[in-house]
Amino acid sequence: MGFISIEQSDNLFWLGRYAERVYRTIRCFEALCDVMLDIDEQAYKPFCAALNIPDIYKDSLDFIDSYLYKPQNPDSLYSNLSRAYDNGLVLRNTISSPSLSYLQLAMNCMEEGRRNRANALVGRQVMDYLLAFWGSIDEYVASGQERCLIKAGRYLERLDMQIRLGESWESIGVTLDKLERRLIGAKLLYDTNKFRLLLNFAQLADDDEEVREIALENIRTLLL
Amino acid sequence: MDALLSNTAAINQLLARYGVKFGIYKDGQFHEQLFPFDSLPRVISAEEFAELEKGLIQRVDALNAFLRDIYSKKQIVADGVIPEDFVFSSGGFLPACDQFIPPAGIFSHISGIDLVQAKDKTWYVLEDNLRIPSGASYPLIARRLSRMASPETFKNNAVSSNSNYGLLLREAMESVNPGGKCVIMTPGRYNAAFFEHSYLAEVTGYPLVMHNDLFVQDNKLYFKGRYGVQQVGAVYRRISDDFLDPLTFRADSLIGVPGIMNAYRAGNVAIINAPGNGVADDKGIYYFVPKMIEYYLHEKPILKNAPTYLPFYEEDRKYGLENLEKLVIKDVAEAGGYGVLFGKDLSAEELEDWKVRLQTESRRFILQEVIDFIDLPVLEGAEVKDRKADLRAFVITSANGTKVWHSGLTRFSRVADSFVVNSSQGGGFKDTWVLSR
Repeated sequence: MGFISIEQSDNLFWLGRYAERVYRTIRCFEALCDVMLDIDEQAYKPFCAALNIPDIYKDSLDFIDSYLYKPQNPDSLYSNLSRAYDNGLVLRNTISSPSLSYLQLAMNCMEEGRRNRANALVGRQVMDYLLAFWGSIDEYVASGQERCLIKAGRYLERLDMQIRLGESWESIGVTLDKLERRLIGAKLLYDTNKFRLLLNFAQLADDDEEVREIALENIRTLLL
Repeated sequence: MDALLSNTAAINQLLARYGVKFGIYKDGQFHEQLFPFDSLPRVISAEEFAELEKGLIQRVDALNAFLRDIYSKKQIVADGVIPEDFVFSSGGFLPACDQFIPPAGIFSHISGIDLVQAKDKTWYVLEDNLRIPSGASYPLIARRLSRMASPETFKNNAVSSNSNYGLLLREAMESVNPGGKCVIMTPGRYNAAFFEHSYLAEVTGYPLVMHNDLFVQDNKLYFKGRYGVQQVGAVYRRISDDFLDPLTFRADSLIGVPGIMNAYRAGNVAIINAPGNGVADDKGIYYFVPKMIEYYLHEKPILKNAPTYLPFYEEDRKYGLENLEKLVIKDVAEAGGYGVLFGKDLSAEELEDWKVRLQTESRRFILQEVIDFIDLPVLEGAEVKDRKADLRAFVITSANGTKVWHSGLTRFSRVADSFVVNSSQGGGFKDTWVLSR
């Protein structure tokens, strides 16, 4: 064990981040679509602001189409899934062919959705494949350190999105616990003071916007 | 068999799911393509394969003997069996490899021998590929899926298992490893055979590495990993000799490992396949392989070459110029189905131009008789069509001897009457069943 290159360990970490970004985004996308259809057509604007992505969209329909499928849009789910796939493709021997195949299936699904203008419908299938992907990682990645690397990426991304999208501090606390275990397991160096501050925020559950800003900054600079 | 055939589309879907692709560059752009699989296999009887196997082992042993000789005493040239023009002017002969014999005396650990079968059932060798031949992964993964698609087909037919390719590769690497880890080195995901690299890493259990994961210190090769540094003893590389080491070969190579040739020449690492093999699989040298077999092994060649003429020799040139319209012209510097011209397709004016060229560039081209090789039945939707097909057999040489993988890559043309079967030119592939009884 321990025979993993620096580049491949980066690939593992970023595979975890991008796969989680796609998964978490799809999870909240359905609810966002409902709001845009029924309540506020402009609801995508605060969503973009929360995720700190440029609002380049003409209207809600343009947002749904471009944010989901446009390869030219660097923030689209298509682009993020492509990055997950690109990182996964060079890891076949580490994550296994079956795990990689779920990324391929998710990618195929996204391609098909793009061709058929399936709008948000395709998200469900992509989510299923990503869940299967994570199950497959547990099943096939024998090395604990490698599993911890990919999951450290996963939970760091989850944490970032949870804070940005205003999820409860309780659920953020759960993610922090998971992240800490994975950081230690992967032997990733991180700033323990910043991590302790994040734990404090989770315990205090103070929903001040400034607290979330500080928390985000701590996450951004957590890894040494 | 019906269950297997009716699942062809499902198997192809799974191959797509598993990312079974190859890459090609068109107009400077990288494209990944699926490799269409036809589940109707090529079947080779046990008796027929036993003969092929003997011939393949004999051929590869002779080629390894030639490489040992040419990079040491060069006796075959001194004895006049092969003219020196065909050895030392070959781009495949690397002075940097001269006077060094790799571990266990093996240069070609993995040899891909391309064969065709004529209508009278005679097998002919068309090409020897001793520089990183690829293609084994395709029948390997297709077989796994075919077995799942139709277990009864494999229960009712005595098909030799092909699942041992990873073990054969491991044996070849471990047996020449002077000490350290074994790794599979790839130029990266935009290499045409990246799927194969990554899949072989998976089936052997060896790490897939790139040039920047490796470094040389004190003539030893090391892998720098996330959790420390480890010595590397054997590298299965998928990178051309030219780009292997910028300190020895092309200085502008960004995908090589500086100093790896020093580590190799110091005997601290085995490179699989060895650098310098290009001198033995040059299309010009191919002509001499039967002579090599007699020279080194003192045996009669079991497998035949396609009848070949070298414009270099006056008698061959005369015949070639008189019969060009019925011959194939091959550029010795090309591969992958490129640089192949059929005389019958040339106009009278083009034929005249070629006659001049063959006289002025006599070392660059070879001429071959067209072998009317057999058509194999190929599924096209619900119909069965006859298409030309070849076979790439994989021969693995370790310190324990030379073995033939009981399978192979059967490639077929998807165009009626076309002799070009290469995947890069739109061909498909079949599994190759070697019957065990």
